[in-house]
Amino acid sequence: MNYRLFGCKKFIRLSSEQADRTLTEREDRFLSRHREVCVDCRKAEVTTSCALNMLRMATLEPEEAPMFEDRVIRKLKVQQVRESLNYWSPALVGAGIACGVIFVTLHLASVPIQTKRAILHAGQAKREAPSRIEPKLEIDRVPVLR
Amino acid sequence: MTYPIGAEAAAQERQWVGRCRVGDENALGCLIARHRNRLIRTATNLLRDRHEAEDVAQEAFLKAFREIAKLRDDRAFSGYLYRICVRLCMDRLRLKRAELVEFDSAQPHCGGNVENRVVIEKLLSQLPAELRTTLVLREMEQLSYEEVAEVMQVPIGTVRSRLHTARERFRKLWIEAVGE
Repeated sequence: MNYRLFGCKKFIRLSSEQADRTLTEREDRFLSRHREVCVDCRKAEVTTSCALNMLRMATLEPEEAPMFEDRVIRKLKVQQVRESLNYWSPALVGAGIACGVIFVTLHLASVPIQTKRAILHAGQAKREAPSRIEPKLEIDRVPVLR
Repeated sequence: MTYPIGAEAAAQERQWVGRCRVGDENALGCLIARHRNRLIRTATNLLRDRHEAEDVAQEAFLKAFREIAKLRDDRAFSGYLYRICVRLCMDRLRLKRAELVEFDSAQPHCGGNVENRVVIEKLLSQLPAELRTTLVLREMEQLSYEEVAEVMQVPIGTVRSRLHTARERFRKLWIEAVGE
């Protein structure tokens, strides 16, 4: 019959901790006593040990990464430039807009008067454009009844 | 956590960190050269992908160097760097877990049993990121409980319980995969 004994949980915990610290004599005695009587725990211990061994064996060693230092330093420089641009960009945009406004103002201020007149004439010319010709009623042609 | 390096090397590292703060490129290169292998190795074992591990290592270096001015203790650089790397790996694992896990058969493996590696990778992919990281750091990277706790920024008790759970779940998955 397959049955669980008291202390199986404790056994599993201690069995796991065994790999990380030195157990006390009492804990050690408990483990060996329990191991003798509990088949399931014995099996579990063996399986855990096997699985963890496989895990350790599957450790990957890194490959040689050529020019790793150079790449990191280059990226760091790019990042610094980008960050400084991000920091100064609102100021740069503001300065750009201000320059644009000043340029447009100066340009408008320096436009000669003649050009303004020309603009006026053009307006007038538009207003002076021939208006729609009203249809004339030819009253003379209406026959007079006597 | 600090790497097991001698007093002289530690002093040298402190110097390099100090020089990095003022933008010395040679010091940057020296720090990268010292830590890159370990960083890539840990990332490779956590992510099980060499190319991704290299990306993560690069990202960790960039992040660490960007924040180096804020580092209060120059001696803490290696631990800080390692913590960043592990956290980046965990973030990627969380994202990956949501996706369909596929094994990249084209990825070259040097030595060891390829079938075993495939099985291990599949089993690891079924563990949550926290358990997987704890297990890999302890079993593959051979870090102590204290080191794992510091890297993952959790109490030692949490590491102990996570490790216990991870081992149990890994054992169950192993039994399912290979049979008793």
